[in-house]
Amino acid sequence: MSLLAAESLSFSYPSGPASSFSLQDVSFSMEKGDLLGVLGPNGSGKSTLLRLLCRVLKPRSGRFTVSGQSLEDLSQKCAARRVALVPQEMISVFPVTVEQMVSLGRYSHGGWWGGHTPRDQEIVASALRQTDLWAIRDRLTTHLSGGERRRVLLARALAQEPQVLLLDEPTAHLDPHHQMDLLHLVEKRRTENGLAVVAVLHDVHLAMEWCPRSLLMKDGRVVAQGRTADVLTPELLERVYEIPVEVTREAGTDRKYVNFFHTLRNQEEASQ
Amino acid sequence: MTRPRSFWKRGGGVGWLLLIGSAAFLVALKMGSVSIGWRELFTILWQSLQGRLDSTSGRAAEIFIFIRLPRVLMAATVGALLASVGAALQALFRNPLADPYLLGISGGAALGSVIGLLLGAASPAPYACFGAALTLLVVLMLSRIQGSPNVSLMVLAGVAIHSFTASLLTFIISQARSHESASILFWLLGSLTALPYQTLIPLMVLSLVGLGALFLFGPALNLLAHGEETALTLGLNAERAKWGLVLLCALLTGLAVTFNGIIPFVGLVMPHIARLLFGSDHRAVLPLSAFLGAVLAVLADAVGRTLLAPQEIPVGVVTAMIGAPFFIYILRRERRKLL
Repeated sequence: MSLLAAESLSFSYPSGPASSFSLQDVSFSMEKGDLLGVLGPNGSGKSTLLRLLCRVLKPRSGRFTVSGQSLEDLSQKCAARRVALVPQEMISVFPVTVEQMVSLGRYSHGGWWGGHTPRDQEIVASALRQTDLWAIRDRLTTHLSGGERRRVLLARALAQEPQVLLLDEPTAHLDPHHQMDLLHLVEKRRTENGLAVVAVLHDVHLAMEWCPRSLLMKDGRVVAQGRTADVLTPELLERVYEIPVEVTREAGTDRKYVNFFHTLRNQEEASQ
Repeated sequence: MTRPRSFWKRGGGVGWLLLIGSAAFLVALKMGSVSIGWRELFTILWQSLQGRLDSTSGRAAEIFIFIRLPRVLMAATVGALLASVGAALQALFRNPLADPYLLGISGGAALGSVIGLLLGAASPAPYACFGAALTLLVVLMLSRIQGSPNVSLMVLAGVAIHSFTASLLTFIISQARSHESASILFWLLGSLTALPYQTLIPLMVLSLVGLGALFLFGPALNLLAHGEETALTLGLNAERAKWGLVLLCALLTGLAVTFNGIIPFVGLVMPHIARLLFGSDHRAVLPLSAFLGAVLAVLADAVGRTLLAPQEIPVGVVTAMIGAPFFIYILRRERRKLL
């Protein structure tokens, strides 16, 4: 039995501007320590899939199981102990300290009053240390840089002690240094603790470098999934992103590079 | 920025607050069109604690028991209700401008209770609560953008609803007989006329139970303050908590309005001050707001009673004079986010 499995998940928005969109028949499975990159153009259903996986949305049909248990059958607290999300941004209207924010990750483990046992405090402290936030744990979240905020969100998710970590564009709005810091952190937890990671990505290069497996989506359907090298082929990428792709191979190796920007260059040449 | 105000957190603040609170309570008991001397006040307090106080204890004692004390108790309860409802609404809707008055909920409750009175109800409280719940639901419906409430829209919807209920109330008042309309008007402006104990005590007990229930939502509000979706992914049954809170806030506003009409801005100002002092943990913010709201209402009432004695300024007028500038301050602080 695999650690987690999405079994023909389908979803459509009941009303509003997105009601014409539907997610159809998405299935995949993952083992402990697996990493899956989810790619696709805007509106392909990546975010909807992520929101289904963390129970913000309820599937119309199909189910998502973790360790064989359907997430829908679990209480919200039980679900949050299994699956944690690192969102793109935090909405802080009222300032809280970094430590308070990370402590919220322990809610699903605690009693109804949200009091913290020594074990809770230990886990929060370790999450703060791992994400290099210990020194600024007393700072207010409203006084943080973008990179720090993202690390706080990761620390909060780690404090949930999940089996599955969902990342929503983990590298967006971060400079390369902070991107690498964040990815190293996730990698460490993945390889050492067997955390399974689902990452929604816009960056095809990043998926090629980082993700052993990928899932490519378009119009709410899975176009292809499997080994990244098999999924992110020029043909499939062209079909999905509807833009010509240039693939270059690094001399003497197997590493391939995808380039979308050559169209820009071609345009420039044409106009000259 | 370091850990905010660790002195307050270590408990030193609680001692100070209790001191300020009891001082406010005593001053309010002393002040009024008939001033009671300190010595006399303490004698009366001492006697009443021993249960030796009765109608033979003199005029000052009579004023104390039947006018001053119920009024101060009522002001404290109403202030506590409004301020903690404000704190809960602010966190629930992530809206620093949320306040039962500004969102039109108090207006709805007032209209409800006046209709209740006209229908000859024994107590206007259920009508007030129903009116509060109805207006809150309408404001929520009007302020939704793609499923989540928008801060600015919510205040605008509140203004619209408030104007609507206010115009209906004015209509009712204009149609009522003159002595009736004067009393309705005075009650609307938040007059804290002393209620008899047999009305006061049940309302107070109900309010305290409601406040206790609201305080239990502290941990949930800590999560909801970061958005419903975040609260969900962190393990809160957000939908259930949200509707529980909406219902409870409407009930408590209804109660507060039944006590004494519309008292604006207590629910806006005090939660912000509570957060400044103790940080944004709602397990502390809710009770603290209640306490500070009680102190503010008690003091505002005392000022209203004495400033132009023997005439009275309604307590709502006093709190509006304090609250409106504070509202403008918050508005200026938040304007970038609101646009």
